[in-house]
Amino acid sequence: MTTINLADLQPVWAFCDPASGEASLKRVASRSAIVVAAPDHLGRIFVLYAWAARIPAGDLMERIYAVNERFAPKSFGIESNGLQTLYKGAILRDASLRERHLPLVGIKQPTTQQKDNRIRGYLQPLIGNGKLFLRKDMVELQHEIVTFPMNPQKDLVDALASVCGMIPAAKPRRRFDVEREAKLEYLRRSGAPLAEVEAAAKG
Amino acid sequence: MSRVRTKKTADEGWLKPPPRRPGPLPPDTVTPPAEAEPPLPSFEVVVEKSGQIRQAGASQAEGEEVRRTRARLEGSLYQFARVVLDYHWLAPKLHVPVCRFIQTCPPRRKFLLMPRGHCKSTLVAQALPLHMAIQPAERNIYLPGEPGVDVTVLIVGERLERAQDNFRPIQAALQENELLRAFWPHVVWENPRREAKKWNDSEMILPRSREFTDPSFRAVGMGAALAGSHPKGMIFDDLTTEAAANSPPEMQKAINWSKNATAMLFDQQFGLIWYTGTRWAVADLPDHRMQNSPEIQFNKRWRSMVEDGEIIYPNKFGYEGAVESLQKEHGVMFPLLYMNSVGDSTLTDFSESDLRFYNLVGDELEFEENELDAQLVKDMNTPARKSDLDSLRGRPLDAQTYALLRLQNHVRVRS
Repeated sequence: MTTINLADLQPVWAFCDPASGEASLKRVASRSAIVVAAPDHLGRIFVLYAWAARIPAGDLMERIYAVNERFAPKSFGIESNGLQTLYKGAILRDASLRERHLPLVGIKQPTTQQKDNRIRGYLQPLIGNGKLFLRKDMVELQHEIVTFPMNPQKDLVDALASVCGMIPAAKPRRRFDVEREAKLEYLRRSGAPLAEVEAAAKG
Repeated sequence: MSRVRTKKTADEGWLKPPPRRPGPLPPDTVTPPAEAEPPLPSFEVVVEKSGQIRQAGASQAEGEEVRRTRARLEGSLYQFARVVLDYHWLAPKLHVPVCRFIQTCPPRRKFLLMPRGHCKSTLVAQALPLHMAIQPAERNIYLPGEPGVDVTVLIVGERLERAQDNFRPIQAALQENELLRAFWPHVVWENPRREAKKWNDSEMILPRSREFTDPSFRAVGMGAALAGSHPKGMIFDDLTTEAAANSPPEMQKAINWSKNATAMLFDQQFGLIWYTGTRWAVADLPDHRMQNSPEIQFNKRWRSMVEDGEIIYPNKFGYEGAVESLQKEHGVMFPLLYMNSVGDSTLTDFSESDLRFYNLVGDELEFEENELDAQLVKDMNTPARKSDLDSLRGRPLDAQTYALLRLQNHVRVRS
């Protein structure tokens, strides 16, 4: 059994996909969704939080604040296609009125690409290589993943794909090592003082 | 002799039993296999022209054997369906446990999820309402303490026509089935069209002990107006099929309607609900019930036509190449219709086995590492491939290094 301290999973990234409208009796409708995830040094992504529901805009705003406070993400992405931009602006205005820091970043999803292809593009390399970790109790997210793309409800899996798209790819250690080794070699050959070589070794 | 026989009069002698009449009461057990089962008590029943029933050879009607047989039929949906209704196509190995699942109450909310063509509607929407009606008050397995004939059952189909298709065999049995009429004469009318207060292709009233607002059996289509109706039992038979599978709003309508319809039950605590269905889509009615209705008991077995490498209903699908031909015929729908599986790789992108999980223990995430992680560590720490420039890195630029760089095309000279 391997353990990772939560504090070591830094930075954390979050994404919110706001959906318009409140709970409806009529038909299938998309829900607002928030997913929080963090990568480790090997590029494995741990989903820390997944939530989706149809709630009024004000309640969603409160939830964004709550999630931001709990996880302190480096960036909180929010889908900003079309009128969603207005919602992002409203949240930011509200945050400034409350004097609260919210690292909200508007993310425009490409309209030229099909939603399913975009989701597939982000998640396939992660899931296929065993790099995506969920908690057992994230049943809804798990259900949306294993039934994708047949399930008409894709809010959580879409938010997950978007947050995975925000996370920068982990860089292999070797690139840094090779550069550093080359610099040290140069310093040694050029007869640099030991202290300088040590300082370079420590970065 | 172990055969149910019919006789018109004592003088006419034994009539040749019609081929549809089964032999002894079928075994009410699944294992051990049929040939190893202990011999079952055989019985012979004679239905007189008068409609009375007696044991063969007995001079008086209503003997001990007749009473015992009646009790057995009342206690077993499978035996009732096989013997009285003559559903000779039922397979004991599959349908005995299925019938037990259907008739065991509590739980009072059940969902029978089976592949297409495995007799789920036959048992639940046709045999079950009749079996409920023949129950004696002192041994009623569905509504204890209540005479079965006082039952009120709502049979719902995706369309009214589908519900009526199930309704017709019920009506025919009540009108024409000799055994049913002889064993339970109090449940049937002599001339239903004249005597019954309601007797048409969507409503029937049995000779019940008191009057209710609902008919004994009513067939409706999904979406029907039900306000004011309060049945004691509800049967939702295959509410979501092709039309709903291809239209999410239609599917949602079916889900919402069935959810609201259950509120119409006469008694919310003791009222009975049976759903039958096959998966037609990922987010369909069975899926919704699985996710949101913990009070509904789903069958764990008999969901796919092949279980443990064996065809579960060989009577119908036991021919060579059955699975292959169905796969070919139904394409991507095969996993849904015949395996009740939505996680099949032909339908979905991600396999459940590829998902990985962690546990949150305090501030630490715990998870099992596997060979993929080992490979990942290796990939991330592999030294970089040596480039041609590596040998020159860190060396001062002089005539020799300049010549090497020129040689390897790393220097561009402006003309």
